[in-house]
Amino acid sequence: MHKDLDEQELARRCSQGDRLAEDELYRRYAARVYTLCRRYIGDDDEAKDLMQESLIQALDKVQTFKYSGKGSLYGWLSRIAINKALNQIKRHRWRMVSLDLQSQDTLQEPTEREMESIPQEKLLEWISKLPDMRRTVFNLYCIDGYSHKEISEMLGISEKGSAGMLAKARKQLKEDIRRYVKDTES
Amino acid sequence: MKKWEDILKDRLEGYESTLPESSLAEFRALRTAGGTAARKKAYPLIWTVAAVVAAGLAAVLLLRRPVAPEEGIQVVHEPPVVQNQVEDTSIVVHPMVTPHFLGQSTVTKIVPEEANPDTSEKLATTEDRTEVPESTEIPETASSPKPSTNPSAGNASTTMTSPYIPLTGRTQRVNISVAPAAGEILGGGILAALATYLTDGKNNTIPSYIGHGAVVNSPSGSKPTDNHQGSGIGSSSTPGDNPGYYPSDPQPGDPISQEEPVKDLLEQSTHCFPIKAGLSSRLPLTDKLFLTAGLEYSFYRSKYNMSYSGEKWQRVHYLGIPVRLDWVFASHSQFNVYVGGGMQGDFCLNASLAGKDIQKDRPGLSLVGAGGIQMNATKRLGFYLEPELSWMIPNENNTLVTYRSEHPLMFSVSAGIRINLGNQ
Repeated sequence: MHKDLDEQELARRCSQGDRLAEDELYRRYAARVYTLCRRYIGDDDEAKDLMQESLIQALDKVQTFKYSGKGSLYGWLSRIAINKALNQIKRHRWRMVSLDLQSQDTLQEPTEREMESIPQEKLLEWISKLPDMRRTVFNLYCIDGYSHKEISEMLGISEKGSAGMLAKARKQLKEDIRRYVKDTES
Repeated sequence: MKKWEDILKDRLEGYESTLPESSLAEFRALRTAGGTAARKKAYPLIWTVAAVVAAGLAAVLLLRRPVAPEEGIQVVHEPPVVQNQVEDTSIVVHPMVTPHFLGQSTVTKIVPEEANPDTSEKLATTEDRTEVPESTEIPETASSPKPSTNPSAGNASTTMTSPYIPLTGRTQRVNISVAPAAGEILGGGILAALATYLTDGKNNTIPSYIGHGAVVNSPSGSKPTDNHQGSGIGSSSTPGDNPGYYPSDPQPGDPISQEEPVKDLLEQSTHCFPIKAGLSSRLPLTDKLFLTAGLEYSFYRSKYNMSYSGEKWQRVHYLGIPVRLDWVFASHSQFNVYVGGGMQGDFCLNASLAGKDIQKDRPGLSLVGAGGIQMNATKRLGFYLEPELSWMIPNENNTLVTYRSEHPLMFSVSAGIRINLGNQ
């Protein structure tokens, strides 16, 4: 019965404390929120805990959710998950001064065909292996669409710092992609 | 043509990772239990409790009165002069009390023989007891006065305070346990500075010039009190190179009396490692550069062993204003590690010798280099511990001899509370 509910109605039922509606919300969005958490948090177990905490917090505050069209419920859930992920990263991170010199990125850009050939799990694995700050900046900028100004405010770093970390993350991912493509071709 | 990041975004945006089978059951259990948010709120509370306990401990340590009184040292102007020496008929009874402090005076009871016919018997018994133990042997120096045997002076009262100091030859052991010291460092700086400031100036009419060996006169022209102290503590720590004199009855403007001066020679001086605590604020200039400024309280203790007046402790309190540029080279939400350099101005809040106020030191300037670790209790509040190397710029106006004047290039460790300003 709950499978047919639209986002707005599902949120309303959840705000009334309907446990079946809460289960339905979990079934619909947990896997996507889990993917998002895996992108931000390197460890799968921590990502799972973060996903569950995010959904619990969302259900506690579901009465504050304002429906603004299809997909808005997931957008709202993902913002909660991103905020929680950033808090966790900021709590545990060490910001070390990077002494490696900014080397020129001369690697060739991966083609569309190459990108389509890579399994999503592999992409997630490479992203999760990036150092904390590079991973966070890459996720925020390239996937979740935040600007460097917003990222600098969210993470307490300068815009220049954010751009530098993004460049390093891109370079590292391109190296992983190149290596994978080379291995599969051979 | 699509960028590779955009393709990556499209592929991951709708991707649903495989969840463990038990995840829904776990979620239901968590939902029923009310989530896990409660466990994280205890963290700042722990730090608040720790800070309160440390401040309380520091307050007790700094403001408590000593169990044994420290007013034991009484310096007389002039040793009693024995005139028309007569046969000593008095009984000297030394109480068999082990002094708690090296500077505690011995109380001597003098009872005239006529007043107590049984004294001859007592003499025989007390003589054994009055044998001065080896550890309390009085050194035979030319300036050491003898116990008063003048009947006209000594027998007039049954008790008097001897000028002798029971020199035990033992060094006073200063025990510093970790917990009180940590408490003192963490929370005590501000309290101590405040307490020192509040008590400042209550007895500043004693212009003892420590470091110059000067004869002291009261600045108001009145007769000087018995509190002639400090003269004899030379600016050099070399024993005996700077004698001081106790004039018999100096008047304002009088030349230094040369009549049988009692020399109070500095035999040994020991300067203790300073205790430093501070309240600091930090303003970010860039991502890694910070301007650090604040207040730093320092406490210097020095022990002087005088040939005449025994052991005296000098306590000097400074309030410093450090201004530094720090470079944070490693940071975490709870810690950050930094190095920095800058300058510090030090102002003497109070100086005392043997419990009596003496003239304050002049302001001084130091170059400071420090490295440290800061532990953040909250976003705005943190605790720091920083070893620092400072070099005091030579200043001839400085009058007090302390650890820092003896070691212009000084290594010390400072701790305190830091307020983080700006966007962190």
